[in-house]
Amino acid sequence: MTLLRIKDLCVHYITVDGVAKVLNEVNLDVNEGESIALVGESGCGKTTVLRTILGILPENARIVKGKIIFKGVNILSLSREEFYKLKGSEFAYIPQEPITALNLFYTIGDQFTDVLLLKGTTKINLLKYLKLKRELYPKLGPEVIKYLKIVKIPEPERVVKSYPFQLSGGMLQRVLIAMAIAKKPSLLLADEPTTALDVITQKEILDLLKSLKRELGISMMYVTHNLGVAKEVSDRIVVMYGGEVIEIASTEELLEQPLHPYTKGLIGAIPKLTITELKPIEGGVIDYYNPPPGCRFHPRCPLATEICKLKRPSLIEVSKGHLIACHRIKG
Amino acid sequence: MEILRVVNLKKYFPILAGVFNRVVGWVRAVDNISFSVDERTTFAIAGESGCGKTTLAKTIVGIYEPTGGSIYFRGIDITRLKGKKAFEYRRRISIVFQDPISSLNPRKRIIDIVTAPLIIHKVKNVDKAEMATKMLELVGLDETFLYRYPHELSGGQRQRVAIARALILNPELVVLDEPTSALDVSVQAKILQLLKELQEKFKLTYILITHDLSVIKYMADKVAVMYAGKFVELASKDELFNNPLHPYTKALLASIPVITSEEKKYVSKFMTKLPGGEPPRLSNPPPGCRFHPRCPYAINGICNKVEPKLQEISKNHFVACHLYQKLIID
Repeated sequence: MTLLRIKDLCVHYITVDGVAKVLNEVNLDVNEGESIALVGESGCGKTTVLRTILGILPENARIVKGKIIFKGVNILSLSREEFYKLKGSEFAYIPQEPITALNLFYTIGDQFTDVLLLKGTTKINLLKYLKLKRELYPKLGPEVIKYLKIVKIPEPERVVKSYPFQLSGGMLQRVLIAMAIAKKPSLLLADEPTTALDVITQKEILDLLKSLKRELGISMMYVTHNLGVAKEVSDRIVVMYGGEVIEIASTEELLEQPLHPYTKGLIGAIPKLTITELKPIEGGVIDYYNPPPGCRFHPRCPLATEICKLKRPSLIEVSKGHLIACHRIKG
Repeated sequence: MEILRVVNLKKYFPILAGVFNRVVGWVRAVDNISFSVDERTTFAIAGESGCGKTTLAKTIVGIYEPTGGSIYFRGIDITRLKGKKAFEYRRRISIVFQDPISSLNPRKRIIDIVTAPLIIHKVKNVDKAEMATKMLELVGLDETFLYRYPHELSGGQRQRVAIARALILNPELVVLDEPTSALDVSVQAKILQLLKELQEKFKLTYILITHDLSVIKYMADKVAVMYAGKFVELASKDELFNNPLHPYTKALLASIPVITSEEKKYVSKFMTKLPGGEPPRLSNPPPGCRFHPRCPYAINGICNKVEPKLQEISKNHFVACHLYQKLIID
């Protein structure tokens, strides 16, 4: 069953230099209980996709076209109140830098109870909030500890009383994951949650996310630039280049038999532990103010011909569950 | 030929407290480290963030003054040199920093950034523009970049400028402090290739500091693994990757998120279940072996009491671990 469907999404940014046409007809699906990884290099629009779903785009962004259908409802057409209500109960977000996501002046316990108290509210009277907090704080304490135990935090009683700067990066990321699952969401959106962490801690967090997904049956959308990390957490990988989805396949198939020239190049450019050879992708970053016509990858593509410069390839299924957008490769 | 020898190097930072800035403790970022680097090779130092690897790099270059120990560069102890003599040596050792956004002055043009070392070291009789163009060409940029500012460049181009600046005085030793960790993989691949080409061309010696073991696999000749201010393992690249001995090295290898099935097979050999926990604070490291609270093989009574020494287990393979010292005694 499809949980989330993004249809022909176009997002532009208005800047002093002109209009940056970032997302260009992005199409993708997330099924129930499935985790997908959104992979691409910096500036490929993967975070913009995530922010559009969460409704946290910066002010200069414009959704030009497209729909985001969640459980049959187009969330882009909802009013602010309706959207916040839906977001509060259905979506959860794990940010990239845990230390900037938490307020340094309040304890973990304080911030955690706020998540439980205020989810889905757009505005609240301060007096009402304080009253509610005083009434419910003792009751919510054990619940907070329960969630901290789920994410395997040692000594949760101590962590509840600590301030964010007293905990390590790995521990803070666990706290944020606990906050995310405390809302019992049906879709977890993670924006490179392990880039600020060391490899050993990263592995622990990835293992935790995998086990949570299995036990709680949450769908997940995981944004990363690291294909190795994507392999660890995802069932399917969506590769983005220059604001477009260029290849979708199951994790196994995408990494073993990539079809799109960019995906192949990306895999070849990663230093490996078993071979000492590197094949970088030629060419540089894409200019969103004047994106190349046709296929946006054609200036860097070794296979490009005339048609690639003229016509934009659409995303077609070449074998079961394997979609690519390329004129030259036909399965 | 040996170019650099570091002997018992220490760098401690004081922790100050109170109104009178009393010293209440020390952060032992580099604690008794010794190694040597051969000419025209790449010596890599691997470790997690906060293990002291950047402090070690900065101490070698001369940004920090060491608390103790010696650094011999071509047989001369550069930590004992003062004034003009020390300055002379600075130009023979240079550094490329991790983050090209913060290591390039945003208010200066590329030409001024690249030629800054010439002015600092009072190199006369050179045409600034000509020299800068030559250096930019070496790193794959053309003269159109000369009068631009750092913010107009992409991450990869900025790192190329940083490399050009590091090489302009024709150094013998270049310290690379995480040169690609701020870059995308396709850009990283090109920078790594460039560094290798330049090493060949100018007979450079590199000290490469990184947390990414796959970058080390591509670049290095000799590898040291650092944990909490100390080296825990030191070996040639092939030896380290084929036969890692220290439990920490194995854990590092096993934690790398890999892509291909061959790699998966390779790392699964070193799969160890760590009991959890985090790297220690350098101000208050655990007694005995610094890794013992996280080590699955820790022997109670030995590992938490006695500090293991870096010992040669097999030829040119050094490990600081009681598990292997026991083997020698047996």
